[in-house]
Amino acid sequence: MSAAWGAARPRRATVVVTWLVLIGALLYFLGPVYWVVVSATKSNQDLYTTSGLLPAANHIAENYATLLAWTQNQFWRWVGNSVFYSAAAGVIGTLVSVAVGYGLAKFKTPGGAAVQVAVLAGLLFPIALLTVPLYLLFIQLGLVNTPWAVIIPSCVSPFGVFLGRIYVEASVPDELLEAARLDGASELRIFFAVVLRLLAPAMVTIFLFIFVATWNNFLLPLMMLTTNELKPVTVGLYGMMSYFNPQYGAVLQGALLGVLPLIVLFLGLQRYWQAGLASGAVK
Amino acid sequence: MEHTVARAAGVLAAVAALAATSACAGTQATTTAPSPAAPGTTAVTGGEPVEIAYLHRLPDGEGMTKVAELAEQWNEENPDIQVTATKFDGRAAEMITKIEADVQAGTAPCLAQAGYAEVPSLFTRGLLADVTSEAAGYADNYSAGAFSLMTVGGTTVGLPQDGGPLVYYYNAAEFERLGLTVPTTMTELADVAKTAAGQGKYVVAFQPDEAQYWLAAQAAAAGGTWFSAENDAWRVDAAGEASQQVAGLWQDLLDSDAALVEQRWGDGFRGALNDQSLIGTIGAAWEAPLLAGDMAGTANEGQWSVAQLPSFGSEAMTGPDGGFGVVVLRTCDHPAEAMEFNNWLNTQIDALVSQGLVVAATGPMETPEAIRTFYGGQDVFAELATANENLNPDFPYIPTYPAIGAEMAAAADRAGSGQGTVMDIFTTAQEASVSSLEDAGLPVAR
Repeated sequence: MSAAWGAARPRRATVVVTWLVLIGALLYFLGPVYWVVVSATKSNQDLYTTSGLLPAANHIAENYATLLAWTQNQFWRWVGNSVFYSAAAGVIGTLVSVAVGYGLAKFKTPGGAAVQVAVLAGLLFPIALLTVPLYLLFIQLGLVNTPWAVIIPSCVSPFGVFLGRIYVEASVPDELLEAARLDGASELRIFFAVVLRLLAPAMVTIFLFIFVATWNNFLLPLMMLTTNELKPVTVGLYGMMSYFNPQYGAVLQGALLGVLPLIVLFLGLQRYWQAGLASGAVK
Repeated sequence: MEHTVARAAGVLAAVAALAATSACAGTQATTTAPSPAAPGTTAVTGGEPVEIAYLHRLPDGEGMTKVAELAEQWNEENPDIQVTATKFDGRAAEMITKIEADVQAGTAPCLAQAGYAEVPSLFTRGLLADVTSEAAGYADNYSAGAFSLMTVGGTTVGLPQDGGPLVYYYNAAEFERLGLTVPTTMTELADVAKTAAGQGKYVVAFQPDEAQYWLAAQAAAAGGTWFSAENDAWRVDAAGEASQQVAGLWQDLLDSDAALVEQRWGDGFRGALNDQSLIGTIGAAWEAPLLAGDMAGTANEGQWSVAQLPSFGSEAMTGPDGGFGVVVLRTCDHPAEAMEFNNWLNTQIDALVSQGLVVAATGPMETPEAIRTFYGGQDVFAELATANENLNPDFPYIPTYPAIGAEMAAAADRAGSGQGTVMDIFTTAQEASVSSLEDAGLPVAR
């Protein structure tokens, strides 16, 4: 009796606390988004003079027109560029990461340990530090100011390799590989037909990780690309933040419209991700 | 063997990517011209036009004359010298990083925008070309003070584009209501400030976050020269007579609570402007549109005016607070042609004014309509042009000057809150300048 009574009270308190924490987290995460949504509708003047959390006169259309005028009608092209660079780097980078991770986890080769240490060291290296050396390298390769200058460096993800290796170790049993070999499957076929399927959730994670990292990488495209038509949306929008007469409302609207592809991607891919996590938990 | 195959398959995509790039490599823009024309000759012998690349950070916004359009116009009129203008979207420091890498790789543009305070540093790092002889012919087109900022120890490295001479902004309607006269000297400024403070208003603001260039410019206005080259060594005089005069003024204003203490880029400054407790401020020429923007839609519309900076020394003189020019980079193959375009570009006054610049070129600037309206119909840019011509003609910076800003701002913060004196800011500047030069291995004259 007393035990049941004692058990019921913390349960109710737990529910309340959980709700409070969740609501707090929701406000914390969605608050800035709400601010951007509201601010994207305001004129420059209202941004200064009205409360940041309350809507003022509606300037959506004007801000959109300003956005297109300042970006010289390149805005949607820039968003498209960002999607292309991030998706290309995401797909290639995921394949490379998983393949390398698989190799490191399942094939004992001389020097394998050294490679792992090198990959881990790469994990600790800030990408910004590598931008200038990469830039000099790409000048020599003659690839500066081409999409490859952004895509190729972004494909390399030490974190992806690391994650790939961990996932392979955890979810690809050696017995399965041996069975496949006994059945006469080639190593290529084993990798593409067996291993990749088992690694689907890991691949979604790595893909999203590389995609977002590429999308957010500002310094690399800033250095590598000069042609207006090649810029990703992050760099392009930054160019609107000039010292003279910057149109904040329009920039904020651009920032909001610019993240739409990211939101769609996350909502679209999250069920694969959830399925993967759940299957791992049951196992 | 099989293992090798598996690994190879994994990196297949990357290899394919690399292979595919060979097709794209040909499309990369070339920055150096193939023309064999010797530097210094305008006439091109081979019929092949000289190509000049120009990297800038101008806003290129809505309703402005785009830099690319200017380049197009030039290209039509000058088939022998073809210019490609590219906008850099990042910060000035990021652009310098890129330029440095470009110069190292030999792919740098011929012309690049650079802040006046950065020019000596770029020069010391060996990134700039000596265009003294080419520039000499164009010197008369520019404010002498601005032109001198593009010169390092006697070597001219480009042409000035935008100027930031200090002027005095004030709310004319409030001045009239309170019976205040516009100050023309340092003493008058102190008197007016104290009278206004008695009526609960401020006619000046002390801006700690702007201390580095704003106070240096005031020392320049008082006739000071902080840095000079002497026998191939830098002589530092940041706490000399002129600085002491400026410190005396501000210490008096602070001690008598006659100056508002606010960070220029904080909300408090804008708030004080909007509730009209701050009705005057010393600011650079580029503040004209910014102040108008800060106060747009308030009672201040149409009330403000621009006057020359009250004279800090014996004559009407002002100092440089910000601004930038267009430098010629060392790896440029055609400096003469680059300078020809550079001069043409920087004398396109109307187009540059549309980009929000207060041009360094001498000549009439048309005040944009929005600015004219805010400042009660005043021909603001004529006033700014006068200030440009009154710039102290001898106020160069040292290569390490950008590095000492934080220390000066901290000292200014202490002065503003009464924990230090205004003079401390200048002694800090003096000491930090000397030590930063020594740290950089540059000779200092004692």
